[in-house]
Amino acid sequence: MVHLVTSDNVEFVVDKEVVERSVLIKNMLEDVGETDQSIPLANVSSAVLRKVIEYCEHHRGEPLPSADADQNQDETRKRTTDISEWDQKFITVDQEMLFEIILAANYLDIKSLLDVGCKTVANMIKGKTPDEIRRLFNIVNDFTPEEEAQIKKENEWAEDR
Amino acid sequence: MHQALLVPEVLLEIFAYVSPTQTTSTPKSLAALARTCKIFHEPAMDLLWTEIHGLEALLGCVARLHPLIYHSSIRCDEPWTKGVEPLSAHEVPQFLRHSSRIRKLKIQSEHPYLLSVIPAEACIFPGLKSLSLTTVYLDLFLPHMLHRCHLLGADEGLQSFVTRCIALEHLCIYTPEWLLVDSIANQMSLLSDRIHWCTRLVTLSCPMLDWATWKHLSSLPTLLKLRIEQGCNDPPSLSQRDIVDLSILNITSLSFQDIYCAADIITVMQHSEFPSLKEFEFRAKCISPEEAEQLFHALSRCKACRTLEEITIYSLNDGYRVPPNSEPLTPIPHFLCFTQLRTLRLTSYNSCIYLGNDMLLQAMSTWPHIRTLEINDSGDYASSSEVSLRGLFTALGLCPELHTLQVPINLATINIDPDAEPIQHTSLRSLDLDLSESQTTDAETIARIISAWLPCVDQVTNVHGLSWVEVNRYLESLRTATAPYVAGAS
Repeated sequence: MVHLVTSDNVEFVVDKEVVERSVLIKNMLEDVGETDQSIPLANVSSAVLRKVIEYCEHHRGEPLPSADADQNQDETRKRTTDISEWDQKFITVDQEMLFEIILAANYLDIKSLLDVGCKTVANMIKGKTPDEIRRLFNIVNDFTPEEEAQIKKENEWAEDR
Repeated sequence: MHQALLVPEVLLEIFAYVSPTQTTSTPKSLAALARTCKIFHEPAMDLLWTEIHGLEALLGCVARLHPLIYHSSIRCDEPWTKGVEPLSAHEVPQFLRHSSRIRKLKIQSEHPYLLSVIPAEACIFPGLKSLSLTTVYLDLFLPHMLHRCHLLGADEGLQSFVTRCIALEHLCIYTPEWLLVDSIANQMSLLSDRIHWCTRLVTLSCPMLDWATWKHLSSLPTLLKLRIEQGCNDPPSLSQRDIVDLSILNITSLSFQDIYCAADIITVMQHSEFPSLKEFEFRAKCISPEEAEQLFHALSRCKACRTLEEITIYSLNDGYRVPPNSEPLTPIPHFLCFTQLRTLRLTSYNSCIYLGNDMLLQAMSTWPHIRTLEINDSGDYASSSEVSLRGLFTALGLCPELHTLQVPINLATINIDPDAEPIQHTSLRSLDLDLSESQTTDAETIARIISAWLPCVDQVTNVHGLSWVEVNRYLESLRTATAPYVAGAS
């Protein structure tokens, strides 16, 4: 078992096989060997880690994506934005939690979880106008009207496709 | 904004799932992201402009041309470029504003004169990795580190490209079918001349080459794949007085496509050695039986006996009529030297390919690794095919890896006892037997034999459309009857 301590000082005891879906933790464990010492996760809160562990538990035993596979996918295959039914239900959370899960997956290096989070955000973006995207993610428009008009003009070939 | 959207790698990961080049999305969403805020702008623009089809997107960044391209009221049957002045020097930076983002470019539109102000030696797409275009544009767009290039035709634009693309590894030149013979001759000369400059080629796909270029290719240790496409019905001939003997050491894949006149190809094969060849493909529009035999013989003599794994020879014989009572083709004896053969596909419409019990047995004993054997001829010979059921099953016992089989068969006599203990072949999945219509067959008995000897064959097919319906019906009922037993056994 592996002991993890979150940013709000909550300790989790997790099966090694489950927690090793995180490449970060897997590498740590390989470096330090068997230890009873807790691993501090200063960037992850207990609420988020609970969700991350739930995901890793569900996907326990599944093959981890290799770096080669990632490269292969990037270069030769269209990415799919499909999300499995369980993952979709899992990732149906409020926006704050969604982005926290993405940050945690990125920090802990859990590629499949990062993919689920990013696909979800991408699906939220698709078909929206710049204004709608800004409202959705609470983004301030820092372009001047002239700058925005110029960008629109240069990308006009993409607007109606 | 959540801080997750300030992390560059997260932002790129999200945008990649919005990108039309990496998903099935449209570019509209990326264009919207590029206008959302300054943090989103650069990564969204990089992805949006990664792959561009046509020059309009770039020309549309030029203020003078933008309204002509997007908001023109000119008649739809007239090009927007009609009467438009070329770019001026101060407009070039507008045209090139996003050129460094482009990695993949396809150009087919025809308005190169608009770009006449850009110096020919300018390299305006420094990040380009893949290019498909007519050679009219070559001087302008070729970056020095281009690895892969697809060209339509080999016109004058080709003259400068090889000296600039020192890293060129993959070159593909298509010959448009509409080109006149004189043009093709000129192209062949030009192409051959220019290919001498390519010293790192790994794959080359092009029209027929002259002897000097064949000689050059034989000195290229990097060249692994060569594909020659003739593509016209009266191609220029190779000079007989320039013939040289070639040893092309490292080529593993050799393909001749769209061949109208096989004589030159056969001459090249007769004078070449390919000691590393693994795949040979020859697809002809027309080849006479004499030429076909010459080709088989030449292939058998090209020093690929220990390496050749795949042979595909396809002859459409378009417009060619083989005289009645002609001798059938005999490719198999020529190919017995290829002990590593995995795939043999022979197709000859209008001609027959001879295959008998002894020949099939000898072939299978010589090719222990064979997985696909397809012999597809005119079908006229099937009625006198000498491969019997017993001959077929005896030969099958020698090639345990065989997966796909297509041969003519003679079922006038069923010389297998359906009640005898079968020697099962468990790899064969696809079975196509060319059967003469005149042969009377006992469908139930044949189905019983196939069911017992070939447990993984679900049905027998025939490319000539002759009916195996009865046999397949019995076969299906036999499979259904034995299904519970099979399931229980597993």
